[in-house]
Amino acid sequence: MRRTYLGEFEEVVLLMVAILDGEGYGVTVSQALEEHTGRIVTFGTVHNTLIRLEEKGFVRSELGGATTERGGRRKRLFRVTALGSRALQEIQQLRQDLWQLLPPNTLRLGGV
Amino acid sequence: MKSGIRPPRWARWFLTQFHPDDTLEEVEGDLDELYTYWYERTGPTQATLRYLLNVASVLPPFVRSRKTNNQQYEPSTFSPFMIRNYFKIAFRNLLLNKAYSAINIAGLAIGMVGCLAIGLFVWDEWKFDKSIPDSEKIYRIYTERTKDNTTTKAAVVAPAYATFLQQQYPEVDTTTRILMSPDRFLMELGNQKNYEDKGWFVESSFLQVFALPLESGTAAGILDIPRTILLTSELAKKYFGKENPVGKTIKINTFDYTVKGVLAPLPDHFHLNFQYLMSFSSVGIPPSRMERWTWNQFYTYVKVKPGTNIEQLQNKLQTHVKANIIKPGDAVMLPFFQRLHDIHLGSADFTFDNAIRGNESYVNALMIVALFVLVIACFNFINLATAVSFRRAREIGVRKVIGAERRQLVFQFLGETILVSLIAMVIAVIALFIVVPALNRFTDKAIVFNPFTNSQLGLLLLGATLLVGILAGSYPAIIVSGFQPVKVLKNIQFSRNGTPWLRQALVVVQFTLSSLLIISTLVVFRQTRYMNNKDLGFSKEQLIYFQAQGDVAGKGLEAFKNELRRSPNVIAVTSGYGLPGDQFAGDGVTLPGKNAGKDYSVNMFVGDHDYLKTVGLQLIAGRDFSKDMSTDVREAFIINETAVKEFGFSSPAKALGQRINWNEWTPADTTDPIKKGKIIGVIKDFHYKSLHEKVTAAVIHMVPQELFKVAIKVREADMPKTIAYINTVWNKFSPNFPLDYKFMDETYGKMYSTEEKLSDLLWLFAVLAIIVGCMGLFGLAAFSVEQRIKEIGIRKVLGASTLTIVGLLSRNFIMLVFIASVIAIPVAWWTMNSWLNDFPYRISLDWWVFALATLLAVGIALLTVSFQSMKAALMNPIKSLRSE
Repeated sequence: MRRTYLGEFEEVVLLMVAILDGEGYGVTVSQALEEHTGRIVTFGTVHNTLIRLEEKGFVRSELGGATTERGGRRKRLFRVTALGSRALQEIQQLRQDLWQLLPPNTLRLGGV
Repeated sequence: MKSGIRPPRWARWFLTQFHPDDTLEEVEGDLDELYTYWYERTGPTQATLRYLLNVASVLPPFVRSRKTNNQQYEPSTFSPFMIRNYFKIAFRNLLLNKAYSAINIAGLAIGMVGCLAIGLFVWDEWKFDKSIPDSEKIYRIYTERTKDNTTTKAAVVAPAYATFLQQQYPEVDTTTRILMSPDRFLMELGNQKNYEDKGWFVESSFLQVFALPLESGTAAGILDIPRTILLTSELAKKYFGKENPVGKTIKINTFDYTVKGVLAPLPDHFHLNFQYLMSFSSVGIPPSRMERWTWNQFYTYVKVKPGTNIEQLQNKLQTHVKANIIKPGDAVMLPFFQRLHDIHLGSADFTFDNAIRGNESYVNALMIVALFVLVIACFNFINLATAVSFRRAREIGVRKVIGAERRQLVFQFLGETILVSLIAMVIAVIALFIVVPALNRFTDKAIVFNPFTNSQLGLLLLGATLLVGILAGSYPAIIVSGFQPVKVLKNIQFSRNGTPWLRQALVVVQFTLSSLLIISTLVVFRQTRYMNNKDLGFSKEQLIYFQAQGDVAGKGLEAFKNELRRSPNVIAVTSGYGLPGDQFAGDGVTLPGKNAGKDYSVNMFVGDHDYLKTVGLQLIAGRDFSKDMSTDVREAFIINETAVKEFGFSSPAKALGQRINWNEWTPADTTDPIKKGKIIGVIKDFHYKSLHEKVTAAVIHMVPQELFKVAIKVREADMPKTIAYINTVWNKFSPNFPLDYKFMDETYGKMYSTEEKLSDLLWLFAVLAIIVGCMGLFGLAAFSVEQRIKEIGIRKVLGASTLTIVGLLSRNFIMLVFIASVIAIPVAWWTMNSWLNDFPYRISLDWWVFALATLLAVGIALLTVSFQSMKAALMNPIKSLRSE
C-alpha cells in the first residue's frame, strides 16, 4: 500500500489533534503547538493544515461547542480517523525500525 | 466575550469580506478566542498586531478553502441531476407505454423516410444545370405558337433566330444551334460496328456556350469543318481503348469522320445528354435554308454578356418577329428566352424537347404528398402524447409540489418528444440507406445519401428532428405543464379527455389527407390505365419498324418488301416517312377548291399501298390506295377525321374527291413542284402522338422518293423466328448496316412512364398515409377503451350486447373519418379535375371513385377501431370490476 505522504508539520498537527482527543480545534491546536514545540505559527497555517489533513482523510471534523467567549460561534472540532491513527502508528513504527538499524556509535561520533 | 476586549472592527470587516464563507464562522470564533488569549497575556498592542497578522494569514490567497463533498443542490433545469432524471423518466415512460411509443416512433419514422426520400429527390432535381460554368448567362430560345386559343410551346426553333440574335444585338455573346436526330448512327472502327444513339450535330460555338472540359483536343475552333467529331470519354474508351483518338478517323454511317477531341465525362446534372457531337457543317444544309424563319428544327442556346436585361432583349426580338416575320393570317409564333436553370423542371409542357426533363408540378405534388404523411405522423404524436400524458398527472403534481416551475416541465416534455423524434430519425436514416438505392433505381438517378460525410445534410436532418420534436411536442407540453397540483394530487376528476375537440379535429385532418391521397391515387391510376389501353385508332401490337439503310433505302426496296412478304408470319410491309410514335413531318397543304390562298398545317405521313393495312388504320369513308389505280401514287390523299373538320368539310363523305395541293420537298420534276391531288379516303383519327397531345389534322399520301422507314406487321406466334427471318433478308440487301429495329407498342409504352411512376409513388404514399393514420387511430381507440373499461364492465353486467358495445366505442371514430371523407371529396375533385384538364384525352371523374374512397377510408378505420373495441367488448367484466 502506498502511504499518503504526510509532511513534518502535518504530522505534528495530526499528533496534536490526537493528543487533544476530540477537543482539538484551531485555537487549542495553535496553543498546544506553541506550548509543546515552542513554534509560533500563524493561525492560517494551522487552519490550512487542518483542512488539508481532512481532505487526506486523516481527521474528520464537526461543528459544535459554541461558547460566549466566541460570540456564540461554533468551533470546528477535529478527531483523528482510523486512517490518521494508522498513519501515525506507521510513522512511529518506521522510525523505530530505523532507530534499530542505527549502528551503536554513529550518534556519539556525530557529537551528540 | 469579556467586554472591552475586542479586535479592531476594520480587521474583522476584512475577515468577513474576504474569508471563504463556509469556514468563516469557526475562523472568526477561533480568532476572537485567540485575541482574548493574546490580550490577556501580552496586552492590547501585541494582541492587535498578532490578530492582524493572523487575519491576513487566513485571507486569500493564503487560505485554503474547504472542498465540499456534498455539493449544494442548485435548482436549475440544466443541472446534471435533473437531466439524468429527465432521461430516466423519459425512457421509463417509453417502456411503460410500449404500444404508444411504438406507434409514435414507427409513424414518425415512416413519415420521415417518405419526406426525406422525396426531399432528396427534389434536391437532386433542383441541382440541374447549376454547375455549368456561366450557367446564369445561358438561355434557350423556345417558341409559343398560338392558334385557336391553344398555345403550344416548342423547344425547337427556326435556324434564323440564332443568326439574327448574333448579328443584330450586341448584348448577345455567343449563340449555338443543335440538330438532334432521333435515329441512331452506325459507328464503325476496325471490327467494331455498333449503332450509337444520342449523336448530335452542333455548331462549333457549342463549347463556347457550354464550357465543358475536354480530356484531349483544344476547344478553339474544334468542330468548324465538315466530318469532324467529338466523343465523350466513355465512347472514346469503347472504340479506341487506351489510345488517344484525336486525329484518328471513325466511320459514321459509312462516312469517315476525324476525331477532334474527347470530352471529360459530362456533369452529373446536365439537361443535355449526348454521346458524341458531330460538326454542324457535316449535314450540308444549304446556307439559304439556314436563313428561314419557319423551319422549326433547331435547339438554340444563347449566351449573353454580363448585365444584360433579358426581358428587354426578349421584347426587342418579339417586336421584330411580330413586325417583320409573321404574315397576316399565319399562326402567331413568338420566341421566348428560357433560363438554363429553368429548363429541367420548367419544360414539361414543351413539344419536341430532347432535354432530360423533370416535371415541376409532379415534383411539387410529391413534396405535398410527402408532407401529408409527415403531418399525419406528427398529429398521431400530438394526439397520443396528449392522451397518454394524463396518466402522468401525478408525476406532474409531485414535480410541481417539490418546486418544478412550469418552464422546467415544458422543457422536460419537449425534451421527451425531441428524444422520440431523434429515435425515429435514427431509424429513418438507417431505413434510408436501403430506400435510397431503390429510389435511384426507380428514378434513374444517382443520389448519394450519407449524412455523415455530407455535413449540410447531417445538419439539416438534425434541424428537422428538432423541428418535428418541437412541433409535435409543444401542445402536450403546454397542456400538461398547466395541471394544478392540488387537483391532480387530490385525484379530483378533471376532464379526462382533456380537449377532445382538438384531438377530434386532428383526426379529421389526418383522414382528410388520407382520403385525398386515396382519391388521387385512384384517379391517377385510372387515367394511366386509360392512356395505356385507349383505342389509338391503329394497332400498335406486333408492329416492328426500322430505318431503311443501304440497298433497302434505294433500288432494293421493292425486292426487299416482296421477299419479306413470303414469310407466312409477315402480315404486311410498308415503307415511307412517318409512323405513329416515331418521326413524321409537319407541313402545309392548300385546298384549291375551297380557299386556295390558305395554308392548312397538317401532320404528314408518307406511305405506300400497304400503309393503312400495316399500321391498322380504319377507313370510315372512301377507299384505300390501290395498285389498280395508277394515278394513286401521283394524286391520292387520305385524311383523318380532324382534317375533315379543319378543312371545313361537313362530313367525311363530302371530303371525298376534293382537291388538295402540296409543295413537294424534293420535286421529281422541278418545273412543277406542286403535287396536285385529291382526297380518296377518310380514316378514323389515330393517336400518332402520345395522349398528352390532341390529334391534329393528318394526311397520308405516297411519295416514292421520300423513304426513311420500313414497318412490318407480323403474327404474334414465332416472334423470334420472324425476327431472324427479317434479319436474314435485311442482311442480303444491306450487309453494311446491322438491323436496328423497335417495337411500336414499346415506343408507346414509354410515353406514359412519367404518369406510371407518379401512379406508383402515389400508391405507395397513399398506403403509407393510411397505415400511419390508422396506427394513430388504433392508439387512440386503445386509450379510449382503457379509460372506459369500468363503464364497459358495468354495461355488460347490465346486459349490453357485444355489438352495442362495439358500436358505442367505434361510433365516434367512424363519424370523424366519415366527416373527413366528406371534406376531402370537393378538394380532391377540384385538384384531380385540374390535373385531368391537362390531358386532352381523359377519364371523367365518376362519383363512384369518391364513394369507393370514402368506403375504403371508413372501412379501414372501422377495422382498426373495432379490433380494440371487440377486445374490450369480449372482455370478462369480472376482470375490470373486481378491484375497488
